[in-house]
Amino acid sequence: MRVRFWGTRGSIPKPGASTLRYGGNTSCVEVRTADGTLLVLDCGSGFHELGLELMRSGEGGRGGSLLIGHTHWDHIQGFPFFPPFFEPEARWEIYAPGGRAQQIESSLGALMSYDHHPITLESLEARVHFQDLIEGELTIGGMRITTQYLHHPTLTLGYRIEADGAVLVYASDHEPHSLYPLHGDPGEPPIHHEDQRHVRFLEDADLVIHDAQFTLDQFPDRSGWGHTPVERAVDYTIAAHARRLALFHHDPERDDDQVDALVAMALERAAKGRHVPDVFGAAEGQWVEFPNRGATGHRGEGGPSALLAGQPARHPIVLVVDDDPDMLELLITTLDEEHVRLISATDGDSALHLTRTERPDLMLLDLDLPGLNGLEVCRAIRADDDDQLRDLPVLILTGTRLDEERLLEAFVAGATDFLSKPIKPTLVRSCVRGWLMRHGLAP
Amino acid sequence: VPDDALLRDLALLRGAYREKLPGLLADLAALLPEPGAADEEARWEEAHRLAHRVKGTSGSYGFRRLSGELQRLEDALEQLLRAASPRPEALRAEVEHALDTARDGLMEPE
Repeated sequence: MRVRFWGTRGSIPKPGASTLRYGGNTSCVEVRTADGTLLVLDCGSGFHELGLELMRSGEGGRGGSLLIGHTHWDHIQGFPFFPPFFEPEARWEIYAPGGRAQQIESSLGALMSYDHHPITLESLEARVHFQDLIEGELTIGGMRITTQYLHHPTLTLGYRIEADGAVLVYASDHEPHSLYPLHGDPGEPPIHHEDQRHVRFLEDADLVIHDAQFTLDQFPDRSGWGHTPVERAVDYTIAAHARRLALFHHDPERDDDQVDALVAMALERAAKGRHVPDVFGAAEGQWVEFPNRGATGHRGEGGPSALLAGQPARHPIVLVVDDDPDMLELLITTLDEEHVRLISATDGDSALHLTRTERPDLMLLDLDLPGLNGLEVCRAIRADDDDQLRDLPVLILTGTRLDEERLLEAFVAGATDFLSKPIKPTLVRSCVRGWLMRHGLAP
Repeated sequence: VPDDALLRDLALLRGAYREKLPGLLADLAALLPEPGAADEEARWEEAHRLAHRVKGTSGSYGFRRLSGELQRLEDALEQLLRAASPRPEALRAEVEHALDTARDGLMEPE
């Protein structure tokens, strides 16, 4: 297997003298296997140059597969400018996180509507097939691919690709669920169970291509933007015993020298880990080759399919619990037009009763409640005989600053994730959408 | 849903909540007990709960400055609740000062 970077920049293309070495194009990575399978990861502006190269090399009519991590601009803006899509004999399979059927097709269709582009999606001459994805597994040629949700303001999948005895993980864009432990040693495992799951996704990879747009110092002003501080990208790679880390999705405000400094800082941190991975800044045009170890067993082979089939059959139910009626009204108004059925409670005992009788698909739960408090409600739900309740995503609302000890206590009680008060209504809405989509219950 | 529809609904709700804020701060002031009152402990605790609640809700409605001032009030109440009885007058004065600042701040635009 070998990899070539065609776009490494985050957010917006940044051409010019300051980005000549690492490149100014947005996300696009080419992956090739020994059997000739062509896979492309994301179609930011780098996708255009890849398309030109395929045409130049006579491969324009050959086709391939495109895995899109998510549909924010910088990951899809090259899609309409890919010359092989205009080769009638080419066949392309397009995959992206869905949550509801035909999501990627309608999303790209909107990108290529007459308001934005003179050529519509229907006008592509190649045979293009769209497939929405959820978490699971799929096979493309000789590649076995595992998909796993990342933490980003829109539904986003990371891809773990196993082929020719090598493992590549593509994880962009992603924000840690928690920065804890804040002052741990480099590579110390994260506290949040979703971050631990992310580390397992990276486990033993030969190369991890990871979002590293910001630093820990910058993070407080950029929390909720959906990106990883470079220090945590290094920590995850160490904890996962991965061999190489490509810092990816470079901040458009960072010039080449600043990316160099970031790489130097990451190398210094990596050197302090119990396991020392190689770290480099992904650069446009760069090749990475893996030794062909032949066919080896795939991790997690035989898991559920990642291919989404059909629409959700019903509107999801969301239970909102807060003892302050004004807060409750704000949350209900925020979610009112989301095509979910909203139910609410103002105390812990009613919340538990509603959970058992209505069996919601998602719960927003305040910590400080009269009667049973939020953690007691959580514990009761996790101890229930009903499988659906035990698996219910519970997003804790709290106005209390959570230190590591309290955070751990909440996880042990069964909290899924946290939303801090004061809340931002638009962030709550995207968070609720994301968790519902993860369960195939898109509003 | 277009964001402007949500923003319009939220603006209406925010206006209604703004009308309630003077009453909520008056409730907070009324909860502060006289030194040595029989229900002193319960009233400090209730004041702390209300300050915590209004801090979170007002900030969520976009009253960020008020929410910050109520965070200071909550911190002052926590410090007072941790102190042994009889509580130092300075701690009580700190609470009253924080509440006055929050009430004064209400008159200023966010």
